[in-house]
Amino acid sequence: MKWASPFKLREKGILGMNARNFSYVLSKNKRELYPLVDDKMETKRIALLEDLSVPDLICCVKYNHQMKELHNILSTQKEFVVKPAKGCAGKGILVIVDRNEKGFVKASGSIVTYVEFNRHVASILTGMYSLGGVPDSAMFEKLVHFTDTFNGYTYQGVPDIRVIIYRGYPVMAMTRLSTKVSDGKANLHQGAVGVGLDIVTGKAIQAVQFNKLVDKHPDTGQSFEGLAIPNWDTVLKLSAKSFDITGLGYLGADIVLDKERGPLILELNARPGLSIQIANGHGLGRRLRYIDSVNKKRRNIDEKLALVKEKFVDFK
Amino acid sequence: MSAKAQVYLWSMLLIILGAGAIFYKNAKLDIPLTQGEKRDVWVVEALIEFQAQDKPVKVKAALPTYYAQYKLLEQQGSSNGYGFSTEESPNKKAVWSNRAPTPGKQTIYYTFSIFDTKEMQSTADKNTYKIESPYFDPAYKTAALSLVDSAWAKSSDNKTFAKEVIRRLNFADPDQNTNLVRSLIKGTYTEAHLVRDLLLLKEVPATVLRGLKLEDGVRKTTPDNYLAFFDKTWGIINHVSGEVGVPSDTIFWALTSVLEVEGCTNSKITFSTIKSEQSAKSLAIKNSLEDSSPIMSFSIFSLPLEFQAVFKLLLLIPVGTLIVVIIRNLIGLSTSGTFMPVLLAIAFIETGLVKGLVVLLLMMTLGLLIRTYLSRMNLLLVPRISAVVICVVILMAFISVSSYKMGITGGVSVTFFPMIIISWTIERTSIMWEEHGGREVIEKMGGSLIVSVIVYFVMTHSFVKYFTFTFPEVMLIMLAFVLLIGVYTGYRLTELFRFEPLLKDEDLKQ
Repeated sequence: MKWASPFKLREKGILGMNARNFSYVLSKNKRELYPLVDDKMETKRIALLEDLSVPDLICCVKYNHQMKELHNILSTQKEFVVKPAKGCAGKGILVIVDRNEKGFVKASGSIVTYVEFNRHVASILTGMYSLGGVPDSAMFEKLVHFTDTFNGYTYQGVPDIRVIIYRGYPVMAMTRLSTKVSDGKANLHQGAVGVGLDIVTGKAIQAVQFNKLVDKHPDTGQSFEGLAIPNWDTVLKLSAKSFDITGLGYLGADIVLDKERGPLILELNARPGLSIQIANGHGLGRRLRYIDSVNKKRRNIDEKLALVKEKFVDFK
Repeated sequence: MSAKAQVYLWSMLLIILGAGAIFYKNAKLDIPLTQGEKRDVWVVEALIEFQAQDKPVKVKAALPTYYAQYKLLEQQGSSNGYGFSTEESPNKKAVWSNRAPTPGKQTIYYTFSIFDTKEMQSTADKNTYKIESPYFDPAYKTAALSLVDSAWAKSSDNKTFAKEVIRRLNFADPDQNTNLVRSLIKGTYTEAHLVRDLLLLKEVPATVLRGLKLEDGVRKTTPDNYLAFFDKTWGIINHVSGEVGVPSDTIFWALTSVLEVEGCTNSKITFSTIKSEQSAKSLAIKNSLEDSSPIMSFSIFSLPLEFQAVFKLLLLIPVGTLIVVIIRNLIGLSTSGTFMPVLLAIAFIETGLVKGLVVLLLMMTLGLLIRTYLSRMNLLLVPRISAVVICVVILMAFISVSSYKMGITGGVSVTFFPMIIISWTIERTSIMWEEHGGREVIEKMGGSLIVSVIVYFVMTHSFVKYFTFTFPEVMLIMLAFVLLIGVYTGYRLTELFRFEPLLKDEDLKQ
């Protein structure tokens, strides 16, 4: 166990949890804007208002009596995803890829009987997965077909890209790849691999698992060296727009790459975590302070992106 | 003004206010910062007995006039059927009266307690004293004068003079004069009175005091005579040995008699004394309550004892929350349920730590088993938690009754646990178990338990208990600290470890 000197951490611009909460989350994110990101239906609604790409919604269930109607709608869908609208940390998400006479087939291949499925939807509605246990609604979305970019880089699970957006400027990015150890979940502290992405190019910087550098995926053995996100500019622009639709000064945009539709906003987060610094090997603090220093002038989104592309080359 | 500046300003104010109040109470009201110091407290019980007759009766018992190093704490008269009042001048007296007492033997109890201030009271005051020439029968006066004159010649000041007089009176082989003078001692005219009168012949201020020697567990004693004389200050001299100095553990009445009665016969007063120890704190508090210091008259101590007891526990909660804030925001450990550790710690205070832990773990285990089964029934959320609450209550009853039957009394204390909190904890733990596995549960729950044990130890520390109760002002300081931690943007302790790879990485590159 080794301890870092706080002075060295500060020198390197590492953002701590207290500083994140006090200087960024509390002061840049107005409380009344939180529902826009805490409720994924809201996020989807405001994203569509501005024509931002999101996974297609099949339907949304609010009440138990809508169950019969739900099955009518779902009968036209082979594959779909069930999500609690106010869920957090991926809890309560069910990915259905097929169905047979017993029930739905999950992505892992196991069967969810119709009875179990109905109960799952019912428990989402009672608020079992929502923040604070408040009544929730269940969202049914079309399944995203991932690009081949991540082939060989993930063990099951959903590879998504997290971009930190500060006052409309993308400042840092990473992708989280699930592993066998993380049980297919994209949660870094459960053992998923975090790959820092160069905010300018979208190329992998380094990869970290359990706070240690790794150079290849532990399950597939694929080296991270060649990993680069295609259409990186589109990803940046899409995520930067999340500031415009929400007004949240400090947020994390979770982007997935669909084979046909390109980058889609999966969800937004008003309190994005700090592990992204470890994945990147850089601190967030200095970049955030830099943005503060140049934000005196009003810029439109293209100017913002241009500034990021110019200044964040080799920005430590 | 920025939010941060406001916090700094308020914290400063709160700390100054809190520390100032503590300092004032400590320095001015003598309330010690630690409990350690104990002072002697004497409870003196006066038993007054008399024969009442068929006429109005009035009994006056004088309070001591000189307490040496003691101070009067409280006084109390139990006056079965008598009107009770007090008289302030010329001496403090307790007065009982009854217009038509039941004839026969009557008793009145009068209790006062005094505590050791460890500081002798000044005795320099001579103003109220008037020298009166003593009366000597002419037959004795010559003898007395010759004794006094020879003693006067052999002395340099009042003290040596008094010593000399006493020495001469107590010669082993007394001369005729001395024998003659000594023959005056008769009945209530004691040796002390004789010495007083001899001193007065030379206009040395002197008086006979009634003094009660304080001895633990002594019953029905009567005050003795002591001789006081003035030599710059009042001093007491032993009228037999000539030793000068205030005898230890003695209180005095500057009166010829402690008890005055009207309308009855055969009156007498006897004293019983008991020594006890009390913390200097409670004495200072009682003392300052009587002095009606403004800071004390609005304090918790002005509440009845039973309400004070409630506050004892309430005042500990801020300490618990401060620890939780420190653990979460400065150290960086997460606990399941923000203030659950504080609630558990409070329950542990009631149950005792080991018993509490055993009972809690037992209840959690049984609760989790029941919850696991309930989850198989796929109940909806609120009914499921309600079911867990009911099961927890049943478990509590079961644990209490069965442990009582087995002769373990501790089991009953299970009721001190906040059952709604426990039910929610069981629910959350169970979901955590389903989603993240047993290891995560044991880590999180273990963490919370360790935090609550830490909180328990701090909250039960005798200094913390004493200090928060005696100086509730410390809450202002704690509030200031919580505010300051609220704007602390530095790293948490665990982050130094978490972000350490970021620095190592740089070293590698260099």
